[in-house]
Amino acid sequence: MSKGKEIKHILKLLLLGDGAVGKTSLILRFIENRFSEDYQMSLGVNFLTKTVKFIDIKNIQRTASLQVWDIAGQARHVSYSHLYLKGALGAFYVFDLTRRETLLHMQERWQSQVLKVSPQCMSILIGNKADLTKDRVLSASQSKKVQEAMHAIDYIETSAKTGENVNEAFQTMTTRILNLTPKKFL
Amino acid sequence: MSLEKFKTIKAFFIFEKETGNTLFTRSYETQDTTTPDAHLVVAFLTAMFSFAKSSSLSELRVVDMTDLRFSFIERDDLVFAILASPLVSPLDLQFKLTTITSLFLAEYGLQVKEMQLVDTEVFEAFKSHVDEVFLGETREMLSSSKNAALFYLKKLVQQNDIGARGAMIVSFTGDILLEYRMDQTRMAGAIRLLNVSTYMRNLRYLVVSSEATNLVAYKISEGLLLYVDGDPTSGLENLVVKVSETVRKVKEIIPH
Repeated sequence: MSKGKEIKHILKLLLLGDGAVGKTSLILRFIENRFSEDYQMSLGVNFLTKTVKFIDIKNIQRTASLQVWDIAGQARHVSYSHLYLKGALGAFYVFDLTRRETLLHMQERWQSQVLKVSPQCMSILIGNKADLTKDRVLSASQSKKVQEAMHAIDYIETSAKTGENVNEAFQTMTTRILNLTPKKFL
Repeated sequence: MSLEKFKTIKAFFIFEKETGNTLFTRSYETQDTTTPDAHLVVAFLTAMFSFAKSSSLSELRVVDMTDLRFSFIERDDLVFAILASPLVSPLDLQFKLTTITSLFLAEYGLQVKEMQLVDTEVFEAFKSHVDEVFLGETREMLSSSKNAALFYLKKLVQQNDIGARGAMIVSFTGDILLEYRMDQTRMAGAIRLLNVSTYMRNLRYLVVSSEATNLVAYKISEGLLLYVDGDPTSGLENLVVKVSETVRKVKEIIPH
């Protein structure tokens, strides 16, 4: 391909995990670069879009339009969940580093449901609320064991509050789905 | 008592906010209800939005009338509206409406933006999605689990010494999954209470005591609550203990 060419992609990504782990906050941080301390339960599923641009190692400019779906904690129980899980190319399985129970059963509760309808979906395990260091109850090695069991491509610790690693998580997912090596994000 | 009134969705509309042009309609007529004419409903809703805008009212979400509850979402210059029985939980309507709005915009959002003239046939395939969402359950439970849970609810209500008059299991949005001897007025009140829980992290239980009832809402598992309507002349403490025991038993039969 010639230098200077631009290629566009559209990717559907999911954020899943138990209630109050910070899925909506991660999306708001990534899309709108903001954070709110106020908690309100998400009702239903919602999506926001953001365009990510980067230049790959062949100097081709890539534009990825990310459709990021916020799957409410309780939405795994609904009888019609396949309608919004299908067609996903990437899924972030989010847990709260300060609540052990949010990491347990991640594979059975969430990943198995996603893979049933989107078998090609790539996984990244996210440990959120990394800024709450004093309250943390899960170590990186414990989380990595779960990552391996899930065959997730990466384990990333994030903080929606400070923004730590949030963009990096989405960039990693985007480039891995497209199977590209980024040279520079624009 | 039939749960029908707590679940009846009468119609669903998608229309352009500014022009009132209808993109999609779906109605569900039952034996005792007729659905209002789509054009009249859209005209009424469009007028209401104009009124809200000119009066600087905040965003409309739910409007209640004697026999109807309207719930709306406005997104990308479109209005997504549900007409339901006034007893349907507003939270459940919001959950389903948010979901159906997202599904529609993900599938047709770009197409709608580029449309010069509205061709409603384009959205025909969306009907099956709408039916699946509106006729589906927000907290799916196996019928075998429902039967087993009902056994424990009956057992709780039939204990004479604790004053439990009725019990029901509801989703966190107020979708009633099963009930035993619940009074209709208190059922409606209990569902309204769920609004409070959406502002709390990890609610365990909630007790409301009035001259008419001792109402206990106890979390069974994620997205599932047991409600018990207690006689206010009986002790509240004993009721809460017995409810927690029932919750423990119900937990064992419900897959998480």
